[in-house]
Amino acid sequence: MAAPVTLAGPRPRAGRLLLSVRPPGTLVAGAAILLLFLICAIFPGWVAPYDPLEFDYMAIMNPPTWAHPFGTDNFGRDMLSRTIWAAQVDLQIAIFSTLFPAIFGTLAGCLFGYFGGWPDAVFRRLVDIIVTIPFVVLVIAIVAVLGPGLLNMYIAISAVGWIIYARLMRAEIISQMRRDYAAAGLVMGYGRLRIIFRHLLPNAISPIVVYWMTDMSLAILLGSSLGYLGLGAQPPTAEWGVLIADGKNFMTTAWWMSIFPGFAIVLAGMGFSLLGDGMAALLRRRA
Amino acid sequence: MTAPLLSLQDVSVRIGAAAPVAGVSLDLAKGEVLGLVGESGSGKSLTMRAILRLLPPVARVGGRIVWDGKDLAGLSDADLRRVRGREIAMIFQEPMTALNPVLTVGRQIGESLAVHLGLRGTAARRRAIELLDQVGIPDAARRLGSYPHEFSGGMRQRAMIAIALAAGPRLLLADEPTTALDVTIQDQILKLLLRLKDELSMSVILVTHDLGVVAGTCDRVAVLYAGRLMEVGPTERIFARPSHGYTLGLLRSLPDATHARQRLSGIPGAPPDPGALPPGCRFEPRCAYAVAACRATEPPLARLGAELQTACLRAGDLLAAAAA
Repeated sequence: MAAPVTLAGPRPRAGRLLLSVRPPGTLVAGAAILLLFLICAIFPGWVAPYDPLEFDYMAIMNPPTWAHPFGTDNFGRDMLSRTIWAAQVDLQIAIFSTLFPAIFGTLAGCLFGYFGGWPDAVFRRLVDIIVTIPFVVLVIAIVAVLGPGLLNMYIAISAVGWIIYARLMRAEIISQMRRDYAAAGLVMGYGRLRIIFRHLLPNAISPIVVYWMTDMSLAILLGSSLGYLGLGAQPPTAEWGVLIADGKNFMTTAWWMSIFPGFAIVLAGMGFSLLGDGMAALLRRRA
Repeated sequence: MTAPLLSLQDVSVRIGAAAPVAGVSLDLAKGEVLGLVGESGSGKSLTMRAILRLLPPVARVGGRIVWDGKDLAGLSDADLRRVRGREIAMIFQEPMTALNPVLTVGRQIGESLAVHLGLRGTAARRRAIELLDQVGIPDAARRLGSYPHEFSGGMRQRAMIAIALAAGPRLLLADEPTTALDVTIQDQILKLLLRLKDELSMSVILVTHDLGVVAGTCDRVAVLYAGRLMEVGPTERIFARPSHGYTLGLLRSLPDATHARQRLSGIPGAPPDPGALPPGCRFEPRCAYAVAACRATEPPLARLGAELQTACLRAGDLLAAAAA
């Protein structure tokens, strides 16, 4: 007779839920890219080889060399250093222009979804209206009213962006509240807010997290676009969109001035997208 | 007779023009296990949910539901929350979906202890371990940190019971608690429920469509058909000598151990649509004992002796035939 086989031994306790499975490659790649940008953003002075604002009239519009791998601009400023310093501004854009929409939208979506009624009906009409207008156009229109600058750009993006999170969360809460465990919470005599935020929200949050990651890459693109158009970050600030705009007049003679900040945008966007994809894959596997 | 713990008085549930639960009257005594049996769609679960006011607003509940002297329909939200979980608890058919997948079992027990009893920290932990022990989960201290998906089906139902009983309710509504489990586990869970009922001096309403489960566990049975009570009485009495054509039909459709090979009779036809009920007795079109009078009026649930209630015009004939 065969010896009894033990199927499961004791498992490690800490972090078991997230790390009991091997993280997907996309997650690792995305995290690595973002870590690189994060280091650039937190310690720009330490990573960047030159002062980003220092003029060097001996090296104006130099093509990429070992001394200046990304070349120099029309004032002789080192493009690599400027691109590195710009990471600070662009990551800030990614975070600040999505933080309020993600948090407020999630809370609003929870309440609209759970309680329904006329506030929910009003919200649905609002969604219908907002989605008919292209997001970028709407944001540009609001910035045009408020005036250019980073703060106004955050306000414009936040004013519109929360609706998408709220819509996502609302749908997710409605599907969760039909499950038995939501009824079980009522049966146990728990209050509605406790059921929404302690029971339903943790089960409904994963699409929000994934979308948030994607949204940060969209925010960088949007922030760069607005910077390029002169509506976002203003010129002395090194911001990737602003750098591209600076270089556009010299596109035929000094391509490096626009190309390298462009690469930085693409890479950062890719990093967030990979992170979002990886998280989605991880959460799917766990579910 | 002492006042019943829970009393349903002419309870109905209407959804639009249809009434999937129509005029259910039932009393439940302290410490009693009542089986509520019926086919799918007979209104068993609706009745249970109506007791705890869990139905959505489209379902309008009529009649009175009196719990321990209080009319549940008249309670404020705050008072209702105190009854839910603290005094009346409920367990569900699917332990998989009734447990919150992202919280550990320990957290879910602890939440009830904190909300209803104000227990926190080590006291709550100690009580949670006791509860898991009590429902027969081995190695309870370590299992507190487990998530529901790490439990087997039977273990999940045990955990569900532990959560439901955490606040020490006086009535447990068990909505088909064993239907999703395999037969050996069913038996363990039912035995567990009976043991806990005695230990905690609870009453239990056990909803099921399995007559075998009822025979083994319940003191009394209430038979529901198309939203109406057909027969209510002591389990042994009803199984030995049913007084209603429907109950008799149900029992005839069960295999029994005394005959080796036996043709099961079954009940022809299907239950009526609650929106289009037949005139007279709602079981009449399928009933083998129907007479012309059955089509005329719907027979009320009438007392027949001290402990039996039946809604069959031919109860006397059926009992006489069974006695013969």
